[in-house]
Amino acid sequence: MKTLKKAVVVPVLANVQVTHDTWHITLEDKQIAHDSCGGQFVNVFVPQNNGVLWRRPFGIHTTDPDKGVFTLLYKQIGRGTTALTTVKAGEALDILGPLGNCFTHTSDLKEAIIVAGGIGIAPFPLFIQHLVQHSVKISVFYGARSKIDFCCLDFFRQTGVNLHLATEDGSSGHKGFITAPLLAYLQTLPDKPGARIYVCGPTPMLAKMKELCRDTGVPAEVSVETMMGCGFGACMGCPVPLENPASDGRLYALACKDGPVFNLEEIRFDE
Amino acid sequence: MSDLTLKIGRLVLANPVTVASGTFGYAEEFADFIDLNQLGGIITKTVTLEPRPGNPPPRIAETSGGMLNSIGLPNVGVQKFITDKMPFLRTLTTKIIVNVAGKSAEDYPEIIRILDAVEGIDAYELNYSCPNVKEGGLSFSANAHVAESVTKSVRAVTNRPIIAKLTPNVTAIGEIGLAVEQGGADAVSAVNTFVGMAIDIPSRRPKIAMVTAGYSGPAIKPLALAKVYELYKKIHIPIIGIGGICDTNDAIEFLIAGAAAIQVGTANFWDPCISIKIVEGLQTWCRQNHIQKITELTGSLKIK
Ligand SMILES: Cc1cc2nc3c(=O)[nH]c(=O)nc-3n(C[C@H](O)[C@H](O)[C@H](O)COP(=O)(O)OP(=O)(O)OC[C@H]3O[C@@H](n4cnc5c(N)ncnc54)[C@H](O)[C@@H]3O)c2cc1C
Ligand SMILES: Cc1cc2nc3c(=O)[nH]c(=O)nc-3n(C[C@H](O)[C@H](O)[C@H](O)COP(=O)(O)O)c2cc1C
Ligand code: FES
Repeated sequence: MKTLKKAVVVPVLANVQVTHDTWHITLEDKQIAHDSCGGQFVNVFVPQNNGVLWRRPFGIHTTDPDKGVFTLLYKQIGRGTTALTTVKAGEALDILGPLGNCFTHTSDLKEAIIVAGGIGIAPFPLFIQHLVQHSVKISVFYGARSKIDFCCLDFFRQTGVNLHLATEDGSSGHKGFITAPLLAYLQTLPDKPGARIYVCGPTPMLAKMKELCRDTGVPAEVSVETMMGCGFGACMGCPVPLENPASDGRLYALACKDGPVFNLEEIRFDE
Repeated sequence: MSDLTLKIGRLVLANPVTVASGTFGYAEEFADFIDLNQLGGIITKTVTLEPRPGNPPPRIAETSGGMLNSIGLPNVGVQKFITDKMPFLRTLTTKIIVNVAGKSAEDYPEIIRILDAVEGIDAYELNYSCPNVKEGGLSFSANAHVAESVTKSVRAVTNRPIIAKLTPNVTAIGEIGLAVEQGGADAVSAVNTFVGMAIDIPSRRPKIAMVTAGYSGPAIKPLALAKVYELYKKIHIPIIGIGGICDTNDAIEFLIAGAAAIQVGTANFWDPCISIKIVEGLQTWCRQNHIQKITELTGSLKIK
């Protein structure tokens, strides 16, 4: 299905802080709430922008098609996201979307293994909302620096996913990186052919995941983050190095147009 | 309704608002957002003889009021451009201006010869000035003799209008403008990006993989405007003004400084509808200011 990308000004229904550095914003737009799939993103024009030129991309976090609302989960890291925290319910945001492609759900999928590092959790609840309707088994491996960084734990408990946590400081779950409990899990996985990994997180984690997926033979999709000048294929500023040249000779894919979701084995992280 | 039409050589544009090469893809990227046929013209992403993969990341960086890019002219090459990109462009009624670049001086007439056999192209813009390609580009418009001879070689193989796109990274842009005029260009477009740089302090690395890059966006508008004015005083062919144009007033400033038409570049990235808003804004402004013909504005700068 081709959904029309569009530029719209949407009402802000809520913008609340959910952890020490992460915010959850609720926006109203029927079409985006209805048409988006997990992995897609919107590109947000930052008001009071202090010299910010580009829009800022954020994965669509959840949707409620009946109410015509969708949400974003964002971490405050710099000028744009700081300005975004000052937006209040009742105001409006100028956004483009839905942009990019989706995590794939093929009919032979029996178990979705979701692997998230830090704010990399953001695009998964929408995908999980979709998967639960299709009775796919869902396991979530979620790593963070510390217990205080975790988001959406209530959502995961309510949805009844098989949840594994890890923190670098050991304040919750496994102490260390999430890839350790994941590897143990994959080694004992009874039904490898029906399983697929979906990953989003910092680049070192993606590089590690690539190794791990190669070793265990479980296929994986990854949602990548790059700088984005436009978000819709016009600036060519978001190249993702390909492992092998594409059939048309291209050495790079574009994160915004060909992604942000890629097969993990197709892309490189060394540049 | 004021008359927004204008002529660039034999090329008639419905209005002065066109979109800059490399900031508008091959137009299809914007088809969801705007009615492309409301534009005066579309300038396509630079096409070269052979396909180019483009530069490694990071290719872009944001600075206050501007952006740096070193994209490296990725494109599918002229043959695939004709088979893959032209069919969509041909469905449009607006003017299609194909931007081309060469690795060598000989590439320019060769690529134009190939494109000249293709229907649906209204004019060419010669990218003499892209600072991001190792092989040169910059050199073709940094030197008046080279710029003139390359333009002449293209003039010899086509009857379609040629627009020479100039780099601002020269001491005397007027001299280059005169040279391409003598070479047979129908118009110049000015300017391409300024050479710029940004550094990430913690890592002490350049923010762009190729180290230096092309600077564009609102920050360059005053610089670009001065280049257009310098050209207007020196040359006799029309000027298409480019550089940091973000709204209707920016466009009007360029017209007053001497531009016959303008190109919207970086602003397309944050507002894919901006070009159409400027077309509408010009219509409104002309009506309010009793301007019958937009061409009255070109070069209407008053210096007491
Ligand atoms: C497809 C996509 C989906 C995303 N989804 C989410 C999401 O759901 N939630 C979320 O919190 N964030 C998400 N991000 C990241 C988010 O876009 C950035 O954190 C945001 O743009 C930062 O803006 P800023 O102005 O606050 O930071 P800036 O002031 O622009 O930058 C602060 C620092 O971070 C670096 N930086 C900024 N953006 C990036 C980037 N994309 N890649 C690498 N380095 C960068 C800058 O170089 C700088 O050093 C996503 C990114 C992409 C590409
Ligand atoms: C990301 C990016 C890519 C560009 N690619 C090209 C190109 O392929 N060919 C070209 O002639 N100019 C290219 N340019 C230059 C623009 O066409 C324009 O001359 C310049 O950006 C100044 O205008 P602006 O400030 O409105 O963007 C590019 C500019 C940007 C920002
Ligand atoms: S962000 Fe502009 S092409 Fe991808």
